[in-house]
Amino acid sequence: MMYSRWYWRALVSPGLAWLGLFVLVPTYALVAVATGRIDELYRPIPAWNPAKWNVGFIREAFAAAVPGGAYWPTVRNTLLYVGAALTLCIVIGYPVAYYIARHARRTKALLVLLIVIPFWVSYLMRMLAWVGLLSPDGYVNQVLAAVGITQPPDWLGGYPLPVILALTYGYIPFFILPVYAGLDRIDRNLLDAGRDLGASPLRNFLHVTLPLSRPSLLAGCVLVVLPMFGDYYTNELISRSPRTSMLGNQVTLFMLGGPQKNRGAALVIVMMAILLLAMTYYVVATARDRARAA
Amino acid sequence: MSFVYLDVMIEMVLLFAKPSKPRHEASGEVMVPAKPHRRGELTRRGFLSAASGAALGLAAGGLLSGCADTTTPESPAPVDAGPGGIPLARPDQPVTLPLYDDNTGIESGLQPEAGPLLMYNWIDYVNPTLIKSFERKYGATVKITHFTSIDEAISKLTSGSVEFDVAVPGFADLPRLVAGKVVRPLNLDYIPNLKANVWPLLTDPWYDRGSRYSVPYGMLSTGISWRADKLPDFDPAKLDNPYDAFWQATDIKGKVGMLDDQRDALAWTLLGNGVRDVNTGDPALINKAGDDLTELIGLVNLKFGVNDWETLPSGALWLHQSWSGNMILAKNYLPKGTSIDTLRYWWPSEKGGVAKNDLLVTLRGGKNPVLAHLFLNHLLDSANAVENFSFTGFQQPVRGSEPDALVKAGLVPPNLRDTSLTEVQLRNALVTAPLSQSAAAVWQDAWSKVKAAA
Repeated sequence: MMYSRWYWRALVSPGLAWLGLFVLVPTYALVAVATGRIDELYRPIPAWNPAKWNVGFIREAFAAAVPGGAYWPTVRNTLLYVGAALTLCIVIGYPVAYYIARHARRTKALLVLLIVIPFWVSYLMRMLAWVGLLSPDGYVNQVLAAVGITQPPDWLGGYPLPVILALTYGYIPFFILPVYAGLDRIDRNLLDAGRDLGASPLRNFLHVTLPLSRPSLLAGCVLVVLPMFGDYYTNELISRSPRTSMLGNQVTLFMLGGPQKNRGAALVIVMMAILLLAMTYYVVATARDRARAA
Repeated sequence: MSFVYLDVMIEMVLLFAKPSKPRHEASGEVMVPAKPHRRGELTRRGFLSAASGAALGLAAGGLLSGCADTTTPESPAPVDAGPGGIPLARPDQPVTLPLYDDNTGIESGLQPEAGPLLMYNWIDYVNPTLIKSFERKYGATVKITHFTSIDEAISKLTSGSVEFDVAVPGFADLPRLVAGKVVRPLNLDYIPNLKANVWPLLTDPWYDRGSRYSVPYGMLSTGISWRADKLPDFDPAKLDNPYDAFWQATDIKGKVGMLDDQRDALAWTLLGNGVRDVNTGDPALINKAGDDLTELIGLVNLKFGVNDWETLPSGALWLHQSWSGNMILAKNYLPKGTSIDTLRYWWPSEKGGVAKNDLLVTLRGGKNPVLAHLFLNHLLDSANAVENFSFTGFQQPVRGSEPDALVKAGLVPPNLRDTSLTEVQLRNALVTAPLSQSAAAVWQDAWSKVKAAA
């Protein structure tokens, strides 16, 4: 049965309206705060009329976010930590997703459940658990002491590695699930065809499985990169050192107190601009993949 | 996450532009297969997307070119006054806070409401036994909502979106709360314990002459705490410049912490640089203090936090800038086998250290103003204040809570006697008082650079 074009448009309109209300309106409010001013009680007065926008704080935020600027250390930390955590998510998460999708038969549901179970505990509690594990008299150091390492590293000493590991631990389920879903949907006949044409398992993976899993791989990357970029509590809990400060920590500093909430909003716009580059690649890449598939 | 939704939106919008079925299917004509698009070849969809993007960019650029481009406020706030023109109070320049016609106190002789009384407070900053005794006495429940930073609390209170009855701000924040008509003027007829029990210095304090809006709550000094078992030879009292203690701690790199509080951390550094005006708005002095703190981060791998009551007992840190009461709390977090004698606290009481007191205020948006007044009176009772101290670790400026009394009652170990203040020490202390908006911005800028380790 053929539906008219208006049928599909009517179906998608409520969702579009919802997204318009809860994405576009808050984004515009953010720009209005960044281009507005602050009253004497330190409350932001947004500039809703574009004719009255003051872009000075946005310009200053961009200038401070480049090498040599005041916020460059936090931008650099954010890019490095998110990049490293994403790499770890891919290196650890892709094989897990692959195994569950391709080789776990009767245990598939159980393994998916085991990946989802950490979500039942709040992110904050999971990070606090890590603080307990990594503290000087925590279980990690007790195990290391038992095997003869009496001078264990100062895990909570304000170093990047524990922050990167904590980010990876906190967000890897968001990566594994979409990749697993994508791998699970790959037609096995295509893999059989590759084998029949003489491809070794490795070549089959590189030339059939990996390209077909690219959209889900990109989706997984997007789902972990976006929240990681704005993360501030992982660094607060695991490190507490300004040396590992991320952009989210700077945003929090301005937005939660003091008379410069418009600076905080301007920093969020800087963050969105950086993420826009990544999202543009994602949109272009998935559009091309879809065109190729069609 | 908003970008994922943006992508979905773009797809949905393009759905409106896409024809529902190819024309050749409708007409029945046979179509010659179209040449497949080569990589890079511009499709109709691609052209439309690029053109609309370019148009949007041109429009945005044209729009922004007419915008103001400055970081200087168009109506700069006065440098010597706070919000609403309220003068900046100092111990030698006391201020009587204004009363407003549209924000009046309650009448005397009213009956307490049924409650529940809603309190907005720091975590663990009131003894649950006092809550229970109040509930029994007045037949109303008390519910407490916590905040973890004063900035967060003040932002929420000034937003007008909350309906708490009682809150616990600091005196540096009081002018904003008064000018914003967030706090309700007090009717002291309901709070006889203010005159009866509170130290004379704070029954008519410099920041709120006549106690129009507030009564004093917990007091604290800002000093140095350390683990005596890890640093047996450390004694800041013997240093020429005790404020320099953290910069000299290079041999315990990674074991040093300072308060994650911009006023206290920067004030400490100002004092170390010989600047006694801890309320200065001079950008040069404040930025120098910020640079010195940034240097300290690299020197000792400095951590910032307000949980020294946890990190010192656990041994994660050995030396910390602390609020005095945190070391009384710390005794509850000592691992088994670690004695309270391992903790020490010292503040430069003789050389002009920083001390302050928190406040109890009733809020205009609260629905239980009489109950709120009675709750304040309940907390200012002498016996209740001592009982409160046994839980919070923060001494109240109330008769019976002097340092000797607290040590004698076994509530303060002798090695932590300096965590308690006398009225004379409080009178002579430096205070982190209210700042003008421009000065507050300078402090915040310096602090943001410290926290960025820039």
